[in-house]
Amino acid sequence: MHKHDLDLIAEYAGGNLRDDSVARALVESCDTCAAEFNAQQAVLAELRGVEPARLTQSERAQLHRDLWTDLRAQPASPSARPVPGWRNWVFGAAALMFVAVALVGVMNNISGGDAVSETFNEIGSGLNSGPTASDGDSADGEAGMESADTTTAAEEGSPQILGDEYAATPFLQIARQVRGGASSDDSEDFAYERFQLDCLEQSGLIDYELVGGFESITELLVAVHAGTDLAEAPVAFVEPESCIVVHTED
Amino acid sequence: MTTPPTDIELVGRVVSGDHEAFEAMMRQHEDRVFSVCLRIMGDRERALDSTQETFLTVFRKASQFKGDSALGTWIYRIAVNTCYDQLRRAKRRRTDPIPDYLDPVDPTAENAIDSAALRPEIRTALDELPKEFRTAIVLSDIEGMSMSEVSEVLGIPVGTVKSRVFRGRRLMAQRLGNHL
Repeated sequence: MHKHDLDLIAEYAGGNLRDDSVARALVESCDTCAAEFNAQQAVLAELRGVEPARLTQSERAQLHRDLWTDLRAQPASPSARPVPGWRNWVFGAAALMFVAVALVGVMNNISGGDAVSETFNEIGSGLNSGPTASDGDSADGEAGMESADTTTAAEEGSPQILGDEYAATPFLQIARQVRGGASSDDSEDFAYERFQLDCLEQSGLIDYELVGGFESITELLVAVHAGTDLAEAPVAFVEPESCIVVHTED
Repeated sequence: MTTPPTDIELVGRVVSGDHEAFEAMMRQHEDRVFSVCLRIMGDRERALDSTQETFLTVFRKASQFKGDSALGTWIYRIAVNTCYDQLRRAKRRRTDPIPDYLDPVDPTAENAIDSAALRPEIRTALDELPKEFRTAIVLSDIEGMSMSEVSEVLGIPVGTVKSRVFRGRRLMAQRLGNHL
């Protein structure tokens, strides 16, 4: 039995192959390949038959009117944007607050003190750009910064937080909601689709299952260790493109 | 006969405050930006908001355009990121079909809406895709961009674009079943 090269079949269905002889032979000789070809073509036929959307006259007029209303409030040239003096004060104060909160968190870590608030955990996650001090009590919110150990089956070590877009993710908050059984009507980010299950396998999260019914703000896959008490189950966050575990909450 | 300005020249005029240049840039790209936003956001009202926000960002960041890519590519990248931002901020709710409203004084409204309409089943299947897959399919299969163009807009490798498009179509086919 040959390996079903579904991507090759998909390229063939899209008319993107210079030499389609191999793909054509697969489609003609293999039911699975033929089914993939038919499915890809059927969806393509629907989508390619749609005309690109255009603005109606009234929409166009509204767009220009509202846009120029906003732009008139801006400086004449985008390169000459005076920053109002009060904004400097606000940014400066915000920066000082971050520094102060970070210092409090570090001191709490060192002293083993308690009660750094959940607020800090959420803000602190924005400061995370790499490994942070491991914190076994993060689930109880007693320590400062979130734990950031990867728990892939293959290795333990520094987490691989990919890109700045995850730096501000409130992992602890999401993990708590998962353990609390929070659910949402919008489960489209966590449909139990084959490719997401494959991704868990690739991540080494063999005993994990995808969380369903949770409204994600992270665009990460969220998985919880199956077979353990949900209230204490480790929660893993997986980057869906690379299938790398970005963060875990124990 | 004057030659049309290059992308860099046009953006340079925008940066120096030439509002007519910005109007020209908008007229050239607003329909396609709106089309992309509509397919990602799911309804015309939110697409219009995203389109407006896109061009506000284009205006604010015009000085950052260096001509490394085509101006359209740069603008569509801003449009996609704007839509993603708005999807993150918006409260999730089931998307409604394209509204039937017809501006009685806008004779183009009915044609503009109908010709761009997706069958409800297709619309639903597209809306249910993860947004990364939906965006790749919108740009590739509906807007007709090549895989390399989509790769430039999204800032991801061509292989990743193909993976998202092919998987997205596969998911849609599974969901649509007999509706195809």
